[in-house]
Amino acid sequence: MENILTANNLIKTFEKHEKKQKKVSFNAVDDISLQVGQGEIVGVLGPNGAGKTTLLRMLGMLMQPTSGSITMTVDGEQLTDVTRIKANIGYLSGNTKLYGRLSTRELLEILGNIYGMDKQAIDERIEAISKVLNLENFIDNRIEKLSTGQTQRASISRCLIHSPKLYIFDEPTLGLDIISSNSIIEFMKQERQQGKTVLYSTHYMEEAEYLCDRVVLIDKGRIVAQGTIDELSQLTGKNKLRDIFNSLIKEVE
Amino acid sequence: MNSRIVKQLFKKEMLDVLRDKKTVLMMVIVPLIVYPLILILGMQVMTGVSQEMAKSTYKIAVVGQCKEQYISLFKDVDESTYSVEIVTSDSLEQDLLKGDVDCYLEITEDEATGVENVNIYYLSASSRSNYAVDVAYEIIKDYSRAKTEAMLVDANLDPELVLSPIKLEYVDKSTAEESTGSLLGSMLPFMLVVSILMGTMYPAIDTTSGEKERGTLETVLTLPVTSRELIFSKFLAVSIFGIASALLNILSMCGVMAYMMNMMKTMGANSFDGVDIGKFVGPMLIGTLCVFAFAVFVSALSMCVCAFAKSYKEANNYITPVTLVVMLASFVSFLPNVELTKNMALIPVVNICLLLRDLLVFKFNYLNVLIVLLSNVIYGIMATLVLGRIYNSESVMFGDGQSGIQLFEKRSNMKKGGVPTLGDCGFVVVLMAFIYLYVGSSLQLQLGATGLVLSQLLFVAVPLVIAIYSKKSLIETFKLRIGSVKKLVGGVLLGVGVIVAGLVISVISSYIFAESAGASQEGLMSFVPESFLAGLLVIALTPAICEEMFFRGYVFAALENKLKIVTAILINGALFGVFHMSLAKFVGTAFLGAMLCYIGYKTRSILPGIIIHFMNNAFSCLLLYYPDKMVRLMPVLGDGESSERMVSGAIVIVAGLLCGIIGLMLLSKNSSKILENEKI
Repeated sequence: MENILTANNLIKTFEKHEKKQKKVSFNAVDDISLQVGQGEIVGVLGPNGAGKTTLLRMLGMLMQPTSGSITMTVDGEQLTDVTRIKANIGYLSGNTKLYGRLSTRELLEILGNIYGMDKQAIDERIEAISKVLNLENFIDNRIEKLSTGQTQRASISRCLIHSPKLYIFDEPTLGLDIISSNSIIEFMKQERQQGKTVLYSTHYMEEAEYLCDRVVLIDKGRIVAQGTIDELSQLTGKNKLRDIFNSLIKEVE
Repeated sequence: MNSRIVKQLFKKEMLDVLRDKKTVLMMVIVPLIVYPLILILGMQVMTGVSQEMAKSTYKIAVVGQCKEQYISLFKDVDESTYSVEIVTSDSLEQDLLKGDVDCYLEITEDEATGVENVNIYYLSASSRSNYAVDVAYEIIKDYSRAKTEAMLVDANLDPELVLSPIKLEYVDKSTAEESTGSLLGSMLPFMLVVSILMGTMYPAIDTTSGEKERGTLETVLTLPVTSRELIFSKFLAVSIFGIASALLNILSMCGVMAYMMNMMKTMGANSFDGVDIGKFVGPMLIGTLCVFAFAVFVSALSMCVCAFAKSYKEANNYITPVTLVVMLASFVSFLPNVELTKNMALIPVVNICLLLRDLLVFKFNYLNVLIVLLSNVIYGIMATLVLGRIYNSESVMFGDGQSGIQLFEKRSNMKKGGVPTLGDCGFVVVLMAFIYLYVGSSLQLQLGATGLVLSQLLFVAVPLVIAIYSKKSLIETFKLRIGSVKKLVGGVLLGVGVIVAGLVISVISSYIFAESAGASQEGLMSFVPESFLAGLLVIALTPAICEEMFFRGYVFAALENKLKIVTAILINGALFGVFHMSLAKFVGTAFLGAMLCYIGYKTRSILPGIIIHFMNNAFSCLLLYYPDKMVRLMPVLGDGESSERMVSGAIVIVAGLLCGIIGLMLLSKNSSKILENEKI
């Protein structure tokens, strides 16, 4: 299996002002190296404040690592340029909201143009996406008027417009009801079938167990363990991911 | 930058902003409807009221001696000019308060001279009473005149000749356009500036902190878009709104003026007679160009301020002080004695107001227009660059908001210790600029030298109070420590070099700005006390301590903490230069300020700065009190024989250079060792 994304020795340092005047710097991500293979779903798990969001933001090129490198391989070509990597990623998180005063169609058209697609390609792509995600009924309504589920679908459509090779989802199902989160989970499975790669973080162990080919456990900015569920259960002697997680995170503490 | 991407981002911003009712309301409704309405309605109400007042019948009572004579006087009045009703009452004072009487006259006659004293009782707070007094005054004036004339005729004198031996007549040589222009000139700039600010404010908030608040910023960051493209498109959108609101304002104002002129003409006022509208076209076009540049600058400025905020509400808090400052600055167009000089043309907001005022009275030179235009363009570019830095900074974008103005937070939420935030520092600098300009200068005008000292003390008092209020570490903020002797000596020696270099710079810049240097010298002379020691206190010691505490203490601590050291030093120097409010001195003072920062940075102590600042000012002080002795000591300062001056100049420069180099060496040598020693 070919790696689509390779990250080497990523470090992200933040400065924090502590009570006693001195500036304190700490590493939110502390020397993480990671490979994501073509066509797999990789789950990033960890307690709150472990550095999941910072890691995914760096991998999605939203944040610049303090040190370390990220390389993406698309069609045999190695990419290191920020904008070129971004053009091949669909990034979704709880913080990536949509422009409420635009309609979904307007948004998709503008984004398609930014990604450098021509008009015909954009129209065709919107047509196809709206069929898959069932957007037809509300695609021309302003996004602020949509229901939560509709907004979520519109959000996914945003990540799809440029047919990215890799999806990075930061807790995509957080705070969603069963139906909305199911639609996202199903979407990820479908995309895998089409050879797309998904890297995503979650708090829901069952969801990760059901979906992920491989999980990466991180805590305090470092990788605690990674591998398939089977590998991890051999390592810890536990069956359920929840128990594996608990035993590994406790070990570190 | 990719133009396709910029175009798409721009389109998105425009759609997003234009669909926000608040923005459109602010931008379109205010200039097009609200203030024409206020002006026109206001005018109509005013004329309506004055017509009503003129038509009204006033109730006037007369008491005292020869009252009958006055009553008949009021009764005989021509009904078509004034309408007066004579009333009688026992309790006049109460009736006046109740409004049953509009005013009353009390007449007493001086038996000896025959002079009639008339006291008119009225209520200045009531407009009816005021009008009644006017009527009574006119009637009594006519009566008095008639009486005088009769007496003169009795004495065989020509009343015309005696009463008006000198005929006074005003002849206005201004053209009708000029007087119209000066009327407009004091009002128009202020309204224009304020409404441009209002017009750009909402788009600026919306595209920056609004985007953060709605969570769409992270969405944009996922796109293959560089931050430069992002900022440029936002800036383009906000500028378009700024320019559009400027244009709408100008158009709307022209409409209102046309309407008012028409109305005045029909009312028979001749003040607008012979105004050739065509003459306004040229100045209007130049003005419009400058206004556009200004609108662009305001857009970038308000975006800079708003970019630090995380929410709409916070952005509103940040932009309110900016609005106040801009409004205050634009009041300058109401001040008749402030002229658009080359220095003035550099001050943002003030320059555009003064230029517009001058343009409207056809009084302008192209150099000033050019300076105003260019300086607005440059400020715009500077603000855009700052904006670029802000958008590149992850701490602001994903931020913890630690750069914001902490002062407005609850005091219990403030953390103890540390140095001021950049936001606090910015706020204090602006506050200080205003306190210094208004409180400081009035202190100086009223109290002379004492005022000078007091105004300097403000530089310590304000940051000190604020630092204590925001629980900052005073030692860290003001660098209140002595440091090692070696560093102190090094700092002071380098300072000597700096002073010499500063002298050279000031000589060069005073050649360039010959007139400005002389003017500032004269300004200083008027405040100087007579004795040398008092002069030293006023000119050297107080500024050395106070200005150092403010610039190298409070301001530099905040800058140094957040910015790269070179940027911090440059900004501090520039601020120091600006605060001295003289174009000619700017380079010299900015250099001094920057070097003092460097020395403070190296020694971690405020003391060398104070000593150097004192030496620098003491030198000017010596020059002021003992010019002859100083010239004898250092012939380069005088205008004696040129070879003598050359030698002395060379000695001074070499000595300065030597001091500077030794100082630099002392400061940089083994600095790490010294630090370690200090720790132990």
